[in-house]
Amino acid sequence: MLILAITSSTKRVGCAIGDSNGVRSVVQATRDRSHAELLASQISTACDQAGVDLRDVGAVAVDVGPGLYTGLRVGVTTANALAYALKVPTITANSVEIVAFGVRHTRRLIVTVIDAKRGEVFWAVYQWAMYGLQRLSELKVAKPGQVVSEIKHLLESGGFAGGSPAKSASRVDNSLTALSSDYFAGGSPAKSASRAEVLLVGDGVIEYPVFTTAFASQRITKTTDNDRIVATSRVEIADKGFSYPSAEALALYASDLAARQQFVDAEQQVRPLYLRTPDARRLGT
Amino acid sequence: MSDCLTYGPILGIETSCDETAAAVVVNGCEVLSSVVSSQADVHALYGGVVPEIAGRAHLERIIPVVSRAISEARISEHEITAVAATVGPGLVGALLVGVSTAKALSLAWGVPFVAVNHLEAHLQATFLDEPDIELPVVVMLVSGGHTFLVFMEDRLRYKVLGTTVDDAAGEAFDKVARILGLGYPGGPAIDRSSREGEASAITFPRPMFTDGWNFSFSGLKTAVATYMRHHPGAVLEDVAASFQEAVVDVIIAKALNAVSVYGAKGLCLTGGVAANSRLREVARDLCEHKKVAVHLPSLAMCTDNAAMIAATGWWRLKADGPSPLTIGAEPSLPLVV
Repeated sequence: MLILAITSSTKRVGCAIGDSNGVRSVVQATRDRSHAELLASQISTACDQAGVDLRDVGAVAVDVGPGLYTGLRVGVTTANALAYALKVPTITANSVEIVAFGVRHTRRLIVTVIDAKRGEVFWAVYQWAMYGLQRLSELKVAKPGQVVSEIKHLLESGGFAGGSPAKSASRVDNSLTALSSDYFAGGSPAKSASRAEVLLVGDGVIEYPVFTTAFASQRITKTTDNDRIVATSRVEIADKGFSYPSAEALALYASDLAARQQFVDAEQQVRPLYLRTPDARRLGT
Repeated sequence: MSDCLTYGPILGIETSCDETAAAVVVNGCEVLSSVVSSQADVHALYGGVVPEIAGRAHLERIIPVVSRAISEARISEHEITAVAATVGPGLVGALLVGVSTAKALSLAWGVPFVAVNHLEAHLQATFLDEPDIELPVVVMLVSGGHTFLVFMEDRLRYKVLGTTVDDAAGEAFDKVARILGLGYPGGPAIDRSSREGEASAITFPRPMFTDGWNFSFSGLKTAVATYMRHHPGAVLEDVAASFQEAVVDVIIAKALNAVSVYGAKGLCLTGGVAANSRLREVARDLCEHKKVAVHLPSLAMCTDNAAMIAATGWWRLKADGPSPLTIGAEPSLPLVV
């Protein structure tokens, strides 16, 4: 099934066309505040580049955030309108898991941190397992400093305390909590509990220096090669190029979800994952 | 100039403020359907439009509204020949929903997208009820966000004579309604309350009554606030009616003056405030007295709707052709002369 994937929850806006055989075209831009201007023509270009007609698309995958409200409004609205007009289902994935999926080929725990503005970040912990991307912690909003403490705690304790292993294909489900430490002993591809290693990724890591400050001492070497992930210490920071949800990653991730029939009901409108209520006071409150 | 005959039904989309609307219009005047989903009840809880809430509501409502507009028009979506959407002015987070939807539909259906200026659409609204209005006319656009006195020579050729130097007319209604504790939205609340009051009870100032073509409503609002402070026991209905009378007097006086100075054939009132019953009554009476043709759109055409967007889209397609897909939301788009 040919999938059109749309990401727009961060400074990056873009789309990709692909299926289980891989991605055929990607068009994306990483710049400020131009999602509405760029996305429609990007879709048109992506179709041209892939040599397909938009009407050949069998599903529309969309990044539902959390992230920039303005960006999300453009991406999610576009996905809903295309799905409606093309009469195809939608597939959703959150921004944090798309970023994690983009750096999946690691045995490290993947900690994704997306800038939530107002001095906060959205974050969650993932792991790449044989059967796909696994979310090991709840998707939460927190101060960058809190996330740093949690990562330090994770390194000291060697894993998560209590709870049961999260299910694969991490859908946003707040009932999922944490992973038991015996997960690590249970033949997982991860390092042993005492040697948990972390790959830190996401635009929140770029935005808040506290992450680099906290974990810089852990670095042994620093590469200047922009194409490589620095992989030299217990906490590594992924290269900036991996910081934003990419449409290419979403197209591949969505192909997996499509194979498992994880579609949003055609009649249902996809909504962004806001994780915050609007700043407004009701009268008399 | 593209051939107008190539355009059949046009889908219009409007999401500039707190109404999610879609409509299907043929030939720039024949309304096949016009669906408006108002969020007024949601924003009333906050005493005014909350932009973030408006944006979220538009996102959830737009596709169901578009779908209903197409089914009520009794056409298939394959018969739609272009998609028009308001690109500005308005709330950016609200506009984005309509613009993104229109561009996506245009891509999926393989039909042109056309960007529409919300203010220009308001100027065209009266013609949806009365397609044969004799030109030139003076159009008085008064709404919650805008106040424009326009001399329209031709459907797409007009001159802005005056605008407000501070608050929009509708904004003054909302603010005064809040001062009087009449609730939100203020326009209908003051209209209702005024019917029980005496319009000559208090003489409020008629700001910029004679000088120039511009308007000012901020001082009038302050005058009401000051009056209420000094007369805490005042009859609210009298205050509402007296305030409304002052606004109506200024609007009609300037508009009629423009008709005579510019030699227009008639006067059109448009925008949400044109739904005000006293404004309509005075406009009818004075125009009749002065032998000026008066054109008052139906209430549905006064307030924000997508039929006026689809109609304006048809005119713009005819004149300028399709818009590029790189157009985004333009929150401060001016009314180009």
